[in-house]
Amino acid sequence: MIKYTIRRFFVMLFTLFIIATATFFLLAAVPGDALTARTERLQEKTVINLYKKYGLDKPLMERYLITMKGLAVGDFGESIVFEGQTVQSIIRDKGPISARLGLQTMTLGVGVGLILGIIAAMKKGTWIDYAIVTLSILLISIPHLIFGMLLQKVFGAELRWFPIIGWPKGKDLWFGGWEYTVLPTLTGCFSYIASYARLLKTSMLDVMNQDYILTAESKGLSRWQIIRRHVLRNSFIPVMTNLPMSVAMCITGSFFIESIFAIPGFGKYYVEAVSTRDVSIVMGQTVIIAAIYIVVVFLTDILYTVIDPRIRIRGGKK
Amino acid sequence: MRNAKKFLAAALSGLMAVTMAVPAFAEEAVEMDEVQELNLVFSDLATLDVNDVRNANEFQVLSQVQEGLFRVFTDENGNDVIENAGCESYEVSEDGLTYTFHLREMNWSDGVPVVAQHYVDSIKRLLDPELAFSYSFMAYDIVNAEEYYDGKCTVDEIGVRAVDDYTLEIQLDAAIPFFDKKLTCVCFFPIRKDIIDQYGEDWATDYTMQVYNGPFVIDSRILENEMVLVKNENYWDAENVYLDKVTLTEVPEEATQSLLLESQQLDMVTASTDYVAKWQKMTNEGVLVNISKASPSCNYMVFNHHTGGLSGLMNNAKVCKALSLALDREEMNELIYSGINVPAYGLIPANMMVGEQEFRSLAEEPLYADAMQYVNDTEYLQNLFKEGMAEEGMGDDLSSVTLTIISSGNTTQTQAIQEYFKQTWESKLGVTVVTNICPDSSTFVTERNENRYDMVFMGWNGDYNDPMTFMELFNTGSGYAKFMGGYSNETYDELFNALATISDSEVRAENYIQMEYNLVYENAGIAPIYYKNTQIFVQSYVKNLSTPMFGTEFDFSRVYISGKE
Repeated sequence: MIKYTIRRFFVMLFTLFIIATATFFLLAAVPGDALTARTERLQEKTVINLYKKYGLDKPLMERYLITMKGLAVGDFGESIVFEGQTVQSIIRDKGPISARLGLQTMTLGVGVGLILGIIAAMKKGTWIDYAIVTLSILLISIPHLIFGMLLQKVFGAELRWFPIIGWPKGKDLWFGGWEYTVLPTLTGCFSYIASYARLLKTSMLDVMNQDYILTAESKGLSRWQIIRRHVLRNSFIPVMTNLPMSVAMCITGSFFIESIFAIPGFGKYYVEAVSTRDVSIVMGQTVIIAAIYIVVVFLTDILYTVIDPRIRIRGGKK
Repeated sequence: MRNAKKFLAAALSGLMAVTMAVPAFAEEAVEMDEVQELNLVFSDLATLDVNDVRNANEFQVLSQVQEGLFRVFTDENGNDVIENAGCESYEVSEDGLTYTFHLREMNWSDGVPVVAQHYVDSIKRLLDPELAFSYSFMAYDIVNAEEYYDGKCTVDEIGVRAVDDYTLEIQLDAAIPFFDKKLTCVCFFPIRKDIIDQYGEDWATDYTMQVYNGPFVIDSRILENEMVLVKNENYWDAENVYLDKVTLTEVPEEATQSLLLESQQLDMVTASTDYVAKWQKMTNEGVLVNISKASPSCNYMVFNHHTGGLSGLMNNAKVCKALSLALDREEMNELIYSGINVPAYGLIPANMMVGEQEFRSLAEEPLYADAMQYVNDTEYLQNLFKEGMAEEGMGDDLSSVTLTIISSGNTTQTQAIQEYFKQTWESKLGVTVVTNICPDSSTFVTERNENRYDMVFMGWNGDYNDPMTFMELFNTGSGYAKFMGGYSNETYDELFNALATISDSEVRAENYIQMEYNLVYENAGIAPIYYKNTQIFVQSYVKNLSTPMFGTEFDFSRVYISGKE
């Protein structure tokens, strides 16, 4: 197990190196850089001075070395588009906001989704099942943007139950200002409801067709006992594969929800840094998010063994 | 200390609200609401450094929290009125080369007096080539300014000095009659070098490190989300500032803006075409007030004169003129812009002044008559195009010609514009038009800089109130040549260069008229399409708002709220 962990750690470092290098050169290969939009209408000599100021006049390989050296010590560099901001400062200031939104959305969405999934599986073939399936397809195919604006219009502007925009700040950052969070949370939770309901239903039906369920039935166990002891546990593997990733990605926020509700979250940076070619921010985000991803995948592997003891992690021992 | 100050400020403003039920300027009694707060949308500033202003958002906020020699308001007819602010008076020497400003006694928000040296520091810093400020070119009229920027002389040789604490003197290279108008620009506002040196790099982005000399100060900020301004009690003209608080929020979605506007959580918006109809309806119901303002801007099709374009035809005046005349500008304005802009047949928009005269009142738009006559005369247009082709030795087969337009941004509107160009030229001229819509501006700029286009739809917002702000885009060797097509013409250059020594505004106007004719009509170096009109919708309870043509979009320093409750 320890050997396995160490090996995974080195593989992770190597993976990150590859990811960083690939990101850097892909960004360099795309036309334009962080200053093109800003210098679009500036006189030639001002432009030359600006490139000098930000070091973008240096040759590509030199910039690559500077970037990689910085990455090695965790210094991702300052944003060129938004001076004074670094990846760390963005994650520090904006991360908690996106994280609360993400966690609330996910808890509600996954919770409701799983319950609907169980109901759909148990009532398979009835109108309830069809209703849930239809609802899921509907929820997953309507974009966030539309839902958000609809909720905003009805509950914000017309009924005035909740504020149209905004997000708790200061001491309310984590536990307060709930009225602000209702509409964004509802907007975001639909896609979770849809995907988790379908996921669990499919997986449960799969398990319910297994022979050991037949055995359990013939033993005379009640329907609920079968579901609880045999079906649920076994059908949770695909849910377990998805869930940690959902949790980890909470921090990346949602571009659309944040932009409709004017929430100062992380999602905007995630999208805009790429289109503005803000190299240091893109590099930082990619590396940090890749690192989170790799760690989560590792943790998920371990979690499997808890859920299903038949799965074993095989380390160095042969 | 901070808290004590805040408490004092709150107490003072409370007192003000009581004592100022009737504003000083109004003849008839005006009922002012108890709550004097304004809510606006904005996009957060990349910098709080006045020398480093870049976009409209920085102009908007910095012009309200800082102050230069002048402030620009609008009168009841919507015309710009320049008022002395940082200076109480000024005089220009007889030769027009020396400007002497007598400064007003006023303080920064930390109590330090604003002195002439702060203005001198600002101009010198603006020109520092290492700092590479976008608006450094605005100061090039000053003696040795451009030379210093180019590294040809020292900073001390720049023609600006503090005669004493309250007298500022600026020397110009040439007598430019509109130099004082240029000085309204935020980039010339005074700076506090002691504070910049004290805080170093963080100063430009951290509002807590700033000191202010304008009507408002920044009270709080959530980066890229919200900024709150409160009244600056130390402002010299504080008695004419009625708002206690201005909240600026970043709301990127227009649909959301619309909802906020309808529920009075937002007090004004600048409309894009999508919502004009809806807000116009609210205006008719008396909820909103619509201010339609001519922007000092012209949008035009640029022909690639650098290389003659991919087709090799773009340096031919006849070809370009055929393209220009074929466009139905009225129809385009109705179809694509819901009729809110003004069709352009010249380069210089309305309201631009030469001395005391409005330029457009002196000169007809050069393209107007021909455009009216030939816009649907396909035979004339095709023959003109063919003549041009023959001159370039390209035969006379129109169907063999392919023209490429590049553009950036994938909005419905950009697509509609490109589609309009394509349809018009293909149907009227029989040529093939390729529209290359680049996914983002970085890609677009690269394509453009590498000259992979025949035409590009561009525009320019004037920086100061004189036709020169447009004319200087098209002289040979202009710093803007790269993105304005690189027009180059001897007659144009001669007229342009002559202006350097002409200060008489009538003679200047004559030169401008000839230059516009040369560029737009004679050689069809560009094809003007429309002058932009900004549609601003304001809640009817917002009073006394200024919407100047230059500098900031709104000056809300004298706004008050009446009738919201």
